[in-house]
Amino acid sequence: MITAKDLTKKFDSFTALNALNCKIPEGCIYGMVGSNGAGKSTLLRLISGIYKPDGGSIEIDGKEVYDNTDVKGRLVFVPDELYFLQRSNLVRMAKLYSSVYKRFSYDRFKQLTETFKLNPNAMIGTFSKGMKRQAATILALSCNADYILFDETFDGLDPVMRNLVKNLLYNDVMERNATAVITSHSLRELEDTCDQLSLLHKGGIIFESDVDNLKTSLFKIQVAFPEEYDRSKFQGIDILSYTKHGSVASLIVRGDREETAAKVKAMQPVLFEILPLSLEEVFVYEMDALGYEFSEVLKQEVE
Amino acid sequence: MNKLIHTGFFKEVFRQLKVAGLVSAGILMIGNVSKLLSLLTSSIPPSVMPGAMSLASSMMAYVYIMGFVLTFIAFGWMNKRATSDFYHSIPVTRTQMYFSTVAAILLWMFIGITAYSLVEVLMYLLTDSPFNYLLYLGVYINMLIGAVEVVGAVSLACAISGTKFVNFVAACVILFVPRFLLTVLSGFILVTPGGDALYPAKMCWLFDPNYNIFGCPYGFITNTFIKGGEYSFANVPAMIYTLVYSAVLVFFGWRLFKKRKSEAAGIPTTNKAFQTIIRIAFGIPLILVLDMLILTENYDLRSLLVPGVLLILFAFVFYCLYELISTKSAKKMAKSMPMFLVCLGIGVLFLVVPKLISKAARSVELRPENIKSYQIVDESDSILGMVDGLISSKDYRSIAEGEIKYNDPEGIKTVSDAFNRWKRTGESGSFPVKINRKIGAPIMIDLDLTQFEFSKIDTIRTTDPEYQRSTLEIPEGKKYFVFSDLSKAQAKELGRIFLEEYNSLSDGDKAFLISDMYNEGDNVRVLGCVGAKNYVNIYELNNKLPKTRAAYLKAMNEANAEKTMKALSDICKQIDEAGSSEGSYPNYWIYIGGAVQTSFDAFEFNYDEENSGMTKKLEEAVRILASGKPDTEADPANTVTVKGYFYDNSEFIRGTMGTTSISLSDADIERLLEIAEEVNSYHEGWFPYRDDF
Repeated sequence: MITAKDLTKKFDSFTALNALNCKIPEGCIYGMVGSNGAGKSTLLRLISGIYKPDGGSIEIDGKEVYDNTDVKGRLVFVPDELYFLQRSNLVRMAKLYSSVYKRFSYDRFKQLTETFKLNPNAMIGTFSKGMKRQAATILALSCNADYILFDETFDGLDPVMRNLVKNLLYNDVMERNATAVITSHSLRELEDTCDQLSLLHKGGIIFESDVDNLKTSLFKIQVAFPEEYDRSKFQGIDILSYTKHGSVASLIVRGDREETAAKVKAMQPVLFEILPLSLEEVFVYEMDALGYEFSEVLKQEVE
Repeated sequence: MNKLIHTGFFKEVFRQLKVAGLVSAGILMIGNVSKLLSLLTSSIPPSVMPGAMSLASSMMAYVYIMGFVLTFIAFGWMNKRATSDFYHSIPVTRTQMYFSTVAAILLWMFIGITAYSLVEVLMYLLTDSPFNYLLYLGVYINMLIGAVEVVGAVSLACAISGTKFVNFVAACVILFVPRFLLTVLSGFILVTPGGDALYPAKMCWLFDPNYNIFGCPYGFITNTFIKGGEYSFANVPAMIYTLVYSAVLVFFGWRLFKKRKSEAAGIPTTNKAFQTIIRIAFGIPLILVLDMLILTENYDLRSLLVPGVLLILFAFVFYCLYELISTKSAKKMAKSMPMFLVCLGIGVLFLVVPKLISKAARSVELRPENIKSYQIVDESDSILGMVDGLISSKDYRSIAEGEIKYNDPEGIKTVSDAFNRWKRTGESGSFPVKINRKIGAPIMIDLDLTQFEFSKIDTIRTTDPEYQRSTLEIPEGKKYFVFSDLSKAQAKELGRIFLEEYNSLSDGDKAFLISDMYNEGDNVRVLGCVGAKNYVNIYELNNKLPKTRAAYLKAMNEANAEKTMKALSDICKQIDEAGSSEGSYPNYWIYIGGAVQTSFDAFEFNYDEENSGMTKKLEEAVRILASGKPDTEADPANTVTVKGYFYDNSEFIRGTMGTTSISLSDADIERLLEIAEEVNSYHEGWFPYRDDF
């Protein structure tokens, strides 16, 4: 488990992370979303031991990460800006990785290069942006790390390759109980990939939840009654948003779906419908409930 | 070990440096190839024992250049955010990363240095050329230590800066600024009254590689009075000092690398202290100029008021400008202003320290009863050190005499008097002496002796049995013999004959052979070494060595007779063709000597305008020589040796006459002697001169 306690990181006068707390359990795909400067990359670099915290702590399985080879040997980090040796090919890079990662598997490396259809002897400098990301993914996954950290995971990958990477991540999580932490500023990108999601804003996690839980615990009810009514009619129901057009009211509700349906049905509505919410809509309402303007938190997404 | 070196990462860095390491080692080897070619193709053996500098120069350049290049390549990832993040993410501790990288760089450098050295040693060994193996071992070890020093300094620079340019500037600051300041300080000591007699000040020259490249500040740290010349490549304490100094650089490099944040990549300086140091470095030079003015003007502050204020003002402007340009912040510049006081403080320090050193030196109480012994050390030691590679080194006597400890009361009193006179007057001289005190460190100083004192000491030394032994002895050990114009094999055989004959001579006869003439007369150079020190002794091949001389002349005739007779014949031909008209005469220099026995006094003559009155006589002399027969078997009384040059009118050499024995008839010998007398009296005894054997 990755545990961040009051994690703070400053760059001169700029505070990138401010007393951040989070727990990332084992065997899941944990997504982090946030606009540029939210602190996603900084958090990943702190988890991977690149940065030393200015305050608080970051631990993996109870051990500090920074300058701890035992811990760092169990994680691999794929940054947004990739690094390859000059004039090198994948084989040469594999040599580099294998010299420092004890669990690096050449069998897996071979298998992955075939899966991605990349020539391991071709110069990486001649690769396209997407191919370079595939190369970095191959190298990272060949390390058989317990924790795989991806910054801007799908940047430059075409849809087919995105799916391939997602599937490989699923496999690692399922078969090896690996933990993947991935970031993106695209919520849609992470929606169907992650088990858990967190939203970072101005150096802190403002929202964190299980994706399935998020999708089921928040839903929309459309309801109409023959008589005149208002919000007070729905006492006992956790309403995040209430709008009414004519006799039809739309409610965004948090809670147990069955229980809420029974409560509303007991009021004998003339119209009653439960509608699912997209993850983005869930985020919008949750943000709203927390007092944040969603468009501010995820500028890129909205733009 | 695993805590310091990560095997996998070490191998990886080693792989990354492969191209640069191999290419640089290859380039270094080119120097060997040219040396090898000259050793293999030259028919005449090398006439000098290679000195430390000639042996070290290629490797020293390699250590400096590749120390920078390999370290920049290996630590280059620190300057880019992406690469820095990658390296900091891998499971290698910072300590392992630093030491593995440094070890990989050093291994490549050690490979280059070792390969070069092995080839060089083999080259000299296989060609049996003059070579001091112990000195070379010293040079080799120095280069290894030097590599650690350069890599330590550059890696330290990389740890405190985040761009290539600042890496380079920082490395230069670390490597050279302390030396520069010591050089300035030593310069200041030398202009301080009494300071010019002190040896530590003389040794600290910035560009004198013997003392400076790897071990410069040694003397300053250990002892005020210490002989600079000892700090050559084979000096063990200097090596230890350099090793410790290098270790300190590596230690700080490691500590700062460990502290360095990955996010420092691309940021010029990561360290505020370093920014301050550079700023001060910008402010100091003009302050030091002011110091120099104050010292040379002998503290006449009134005359320096205006230039002094101006220099301080300009120094302040440079100081502020650097801060403004580097930080682009007027606020930071204003904030940094008070630190300018440090520049002024250093300026004051540089004024005070030389005075204190000189004062400390001159406060030493020295009475004859405090002196255990004194040694006379050849003052040319440091100078020869610099031209070592060109003319080899001192003769054996100079080396051996440096070790002789004189303890006669009269000499001790003379030395004590001269020292105390220096204390009063501050006037140094040219008599280098090492005074061994009963209590306290030895004093190495150039004393100013009066003529009477010098004669007294000279008498003591020349009558000392140890001195006499050192003068006449050819030390044990491998020796190389050089006879001009003779091949290696001939020289070896002749050398054997010489040594046998020399050792059988009385001390009086031996003294008669010692020469300091490199190029004139017939002589043998004996090259060898005592420990790491090279020596070259020159002995005349005169009639005290009949066997050697006979064998020598025979070999010389075989080598030179044809050329010599042709040159003589060419002179005669030109005389015939030019007639006696002035200006069209051949120009020549001929040295005529006796053969085995003293049958003919040596004299030399040439034709030039000075001799125009003797033209016919000189013509006749040449014709006599040209009519002779090269012969070493003839009666010595009828044999002369000839050597010289034949020039055309524009002074270009047209023919050479290597030493050749020519036999002449009794009448010709008589006539040559008469001509010599006539020419001699024509020039009122000064030309041509007669040089009695």
